[in-house]
Amino acid sequence: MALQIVKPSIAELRELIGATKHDDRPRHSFSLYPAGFTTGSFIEITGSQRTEFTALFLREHPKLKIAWVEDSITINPYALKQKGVCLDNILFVEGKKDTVWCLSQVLSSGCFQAVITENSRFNEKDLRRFQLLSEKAQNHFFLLSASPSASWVPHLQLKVSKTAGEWDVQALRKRGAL
Amino acid sequence: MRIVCIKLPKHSDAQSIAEIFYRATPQIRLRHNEAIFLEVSKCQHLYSESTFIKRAQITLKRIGITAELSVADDISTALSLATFPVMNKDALPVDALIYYADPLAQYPEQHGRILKAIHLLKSLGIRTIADFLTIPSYDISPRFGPIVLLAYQRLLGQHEIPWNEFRPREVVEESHEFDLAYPPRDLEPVYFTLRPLLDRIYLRLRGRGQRVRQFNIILQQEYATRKSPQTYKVPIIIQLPFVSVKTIFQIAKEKLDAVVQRKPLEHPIIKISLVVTEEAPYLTSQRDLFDQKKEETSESFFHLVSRLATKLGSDGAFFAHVKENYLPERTWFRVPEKSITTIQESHIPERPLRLLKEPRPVPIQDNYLFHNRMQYEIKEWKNPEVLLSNWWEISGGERVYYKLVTHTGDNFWVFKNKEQYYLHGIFE
Repeated sequence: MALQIVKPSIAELRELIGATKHDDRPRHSFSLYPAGFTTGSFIEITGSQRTEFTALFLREHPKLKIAWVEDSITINPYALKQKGVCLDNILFVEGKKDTVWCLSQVLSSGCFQAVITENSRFNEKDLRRFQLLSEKAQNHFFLLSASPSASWVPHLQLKVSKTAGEWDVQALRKRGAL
Repeated sequence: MRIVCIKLPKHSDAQSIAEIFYRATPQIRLRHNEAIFLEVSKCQHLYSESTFIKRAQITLKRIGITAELSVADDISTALSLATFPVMNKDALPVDALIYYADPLAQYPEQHGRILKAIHLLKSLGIRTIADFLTIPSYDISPRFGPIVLLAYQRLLGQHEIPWNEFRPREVVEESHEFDLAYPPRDLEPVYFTLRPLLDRIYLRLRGRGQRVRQFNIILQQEYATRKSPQTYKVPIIIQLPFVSVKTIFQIAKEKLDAVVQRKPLEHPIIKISLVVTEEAPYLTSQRDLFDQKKEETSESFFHLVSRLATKLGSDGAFFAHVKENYLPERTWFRVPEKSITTIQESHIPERPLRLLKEPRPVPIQDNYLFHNRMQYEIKEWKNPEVLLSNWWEISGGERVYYKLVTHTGDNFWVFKNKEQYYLHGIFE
């Protein structure tokens, strides 16, 4: 009978030494991502259906106060409405060349439960600042990118796609206690 | 009729102060820059006389004015009681006759005659109004002249003064000139002046049932130079209602700091002016005493939106108002405040979540679409839809839209117009 070595996972090892972090922060559930999104988290969403995925999350949480910040507004509020999103609680901000400043202000104001933006070539320092601000204000920060960024800052990196009405959601990376 | 008289200190702008009280009563008369008369009998269901006086005193204190207030049945008595330290009409000194003869200071040429008559009355031992009223009326005109008779009749409650229409100034402007001996060279002293000016602007507009939406701060330097003009004009936009003066002040301070940091002042400042360029209706709301957190969040939200609007322009931060229209570029527009969306159910086919501001020409060859230096192989042409747009526009006329499904999973919304394909949106 051969000896079989079972390699424990990182989570099991952490539990053994008592280093398991239990996240008691509130979460917002989402049917397409059953684990839900923890407040104060930085979530990067990539893939061809990233905006629709975000819109569906907003539809499930109509009471959330949202800031939608872009360099130049390309989001179509009418289409959001068609997807069932309540527009009453969404403030749109067209930041132009001051998008980073706008995002910092919006995140630090504490007035919004979710802030959504498109990746407009933010540098590592900007992303880190956004992450800290969102953690402090306990709001979700959604970064919609065409392709996954190499940055270590996002807590959660998701790749979403939809084929024939079926959603495929892959968690590319998780960081922290998410 | 009950009249409140506000006797102002010298060099006050009575018209602008009167505008503050326009909210309480539209019946207002002025005695140049010396006194304001408010007819308050119609607002006694809201405030008692003593409450009104206390409110008026607080308001005046807020704008840094110490005034004498009095209440009486007519303008002349109200003015006399505000001027002389007595409690009732009969105890007034005979000098008060000047206010009965010409309460609104409309006939300064008559003042010499009245003063002469007062001097004569005093020499006859008549010291108070009560003494004066003991003289028979038929003796007044031959002995002291018609102007004193007019004052006599006013004392008896005759010759009422008509209430002309009070018109607030069309442009709301407040300014302060600094002492030329020590004009400020930085912004710190300017901020001390800015706050009371904002208070005055706020109260004046509040008097008309309005609030400030946009205003300019104009800083005037002592000299103009070749490099910079004499005046600095800084526009401030207050996007949403219910913003307190404190918040407006913070927004203005931030903006001024930023402007002066970018373009430093070259000379001392001699004058600061605030000119309201756009107003909006003032909407009152009851404060929620039991949910202070909500109140604070709303205030910080209004603060944020106004800061964004001041930096980015009034179109920079907005809410979306959607409406039913077949043309995709006309299905929504920007509104500064939340609006109630009337559409419950959309009868328009699915629209893309990303809509380009201007349709962009895209080449489509051999079932390949070229966009952003990438080529996408088209898998399917779906949902054809024909729309007619205005013929005078670049992409005007008939547009035949298609949803292009590509092998990569990206879905584009393109239309064909005049033998050219345009990309108008992305189903992202």
